[in-house]
Amino acid sequence: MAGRPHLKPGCSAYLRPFQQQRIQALHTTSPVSKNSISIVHPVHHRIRYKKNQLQPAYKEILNTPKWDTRSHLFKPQYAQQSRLEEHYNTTIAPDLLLANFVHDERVIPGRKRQEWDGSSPYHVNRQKRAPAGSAIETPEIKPRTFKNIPGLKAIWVNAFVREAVRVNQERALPTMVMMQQITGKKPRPVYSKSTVMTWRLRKNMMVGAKVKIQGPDMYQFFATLVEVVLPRIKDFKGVENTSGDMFGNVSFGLEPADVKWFPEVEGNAELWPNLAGLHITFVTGAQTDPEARIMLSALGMPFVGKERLYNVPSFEALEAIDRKKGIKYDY
Amino acid sequence: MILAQGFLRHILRPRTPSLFANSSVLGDASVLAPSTFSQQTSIDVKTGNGTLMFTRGKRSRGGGETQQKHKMVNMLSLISPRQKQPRRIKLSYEDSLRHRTVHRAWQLVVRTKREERRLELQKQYYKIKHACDELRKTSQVLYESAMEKPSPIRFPMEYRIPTVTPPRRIWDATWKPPAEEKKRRTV
Repeated sequence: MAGRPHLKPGCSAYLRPFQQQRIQALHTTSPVSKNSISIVHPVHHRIRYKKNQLQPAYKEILNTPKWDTRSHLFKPQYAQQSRLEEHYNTTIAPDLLLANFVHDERVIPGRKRQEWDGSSPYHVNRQKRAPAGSAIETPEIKPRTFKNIPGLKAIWVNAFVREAVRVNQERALPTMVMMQQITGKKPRPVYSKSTVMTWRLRKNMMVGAKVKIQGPDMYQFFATLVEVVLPRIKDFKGVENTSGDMFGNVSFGLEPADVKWFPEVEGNAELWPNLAGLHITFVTGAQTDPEARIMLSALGMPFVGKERLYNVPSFEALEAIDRKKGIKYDY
Repeated sequence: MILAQGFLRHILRPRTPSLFANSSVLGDASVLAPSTFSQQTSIDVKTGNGTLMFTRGKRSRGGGETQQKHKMVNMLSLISPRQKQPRRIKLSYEDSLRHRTVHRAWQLVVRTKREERRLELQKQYYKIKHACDELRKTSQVLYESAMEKPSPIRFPMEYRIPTVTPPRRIWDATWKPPAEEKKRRTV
């Protein structure tokens, strides 16, 4: 039947709305002739159908899971060894275990919301107070064992294209395509959230793109950065030691002139006339920034500048907290 | 091109009604509806430099504008899902059995390796811990000296990601660690 190949022939073309169910049908464009994978996911159109009118061939297609090779959503992983991942697992992880080891380490409490002391009758059922010495609650730092060795969890690549605000929204597209070529994953556009007349900024206009990479793509991107891109940048000594969000995530940026050292961009430089710079954020499994920096330096990232070490409560301070609770130590 | 028209529009669509007079996202874009009867379908898109005209159908000999047009279309095609659906793999019964066997064997290998690594790290951790306990019982001075850690800990650059083939210069007998620069950084 024309336009409805998923339905059995002979059934009525008219489908009553309240009897319909939704499925994900296949993309109707012609597939490429070679066996290949695509970075860009195919578009799946949702169409309505009647379950009892579905052809058996289509039932089979819809019921194959995503990890099955026969599924149209299948994407092969680990077709080759992930160099950096192997290096981390075999060499770096045991060394990090030793480097981060602290004997008889105890849980370092974070700043938590405080209870009201009850001196006033209005304290009953009142919301908890803000933490002492901090606007937000901070997590407690757990002892470092073989179970929580810090590793690279994800990398966020983010670009803001100023020309997209000033000139034309389309100026953000080449940067978005470049990010796809570099990371191996299609980025999502970033839209502006507010209107500022002085900057000619309107709400909900495309001003950039962002992408999160994990797994083999992430390790490949990191290795390319550390081995190919960063050594070519003029006057690059390292990521700042002060960079960090306090909980183990480190960021740095690349200028537009530095971005062209990526092999995908360098290979055909004439195709990339106007590129924006990138912000790169490493999401690690470290609990603090110094720990994240130790791990990243093991993977090959250089650091420069004065290290910012956080105020960690001393042993005496922690002992005092315990004594209040009633825990005693005998040395 | 239908490609440019549909895809560009989708990505650059105004998500809420605009406050400004010229609310057209694509500038002063005039779009001719695609018609099965006309030989040519064209879209005019205003860019910073001038106007780009995307045409489907008969080729028109353009000047420098065609190069820019080609670049833009090429870029859009890279992020568009058009004509990128890979062919479905159809396996015979025997082939599917082979595939399943290989897949399960590989998953088993990966799992075994993962568990081995975890066990190794666990043993190492407890060895370190017990060694420190023993040292504390033996000598307080030695224990305190052993517990000192450099701050900050940094792995050297020479601790690089290994490559499949060795480096051109395998062993450098005259190598020395690079002297640390004690330059005062200006803010």
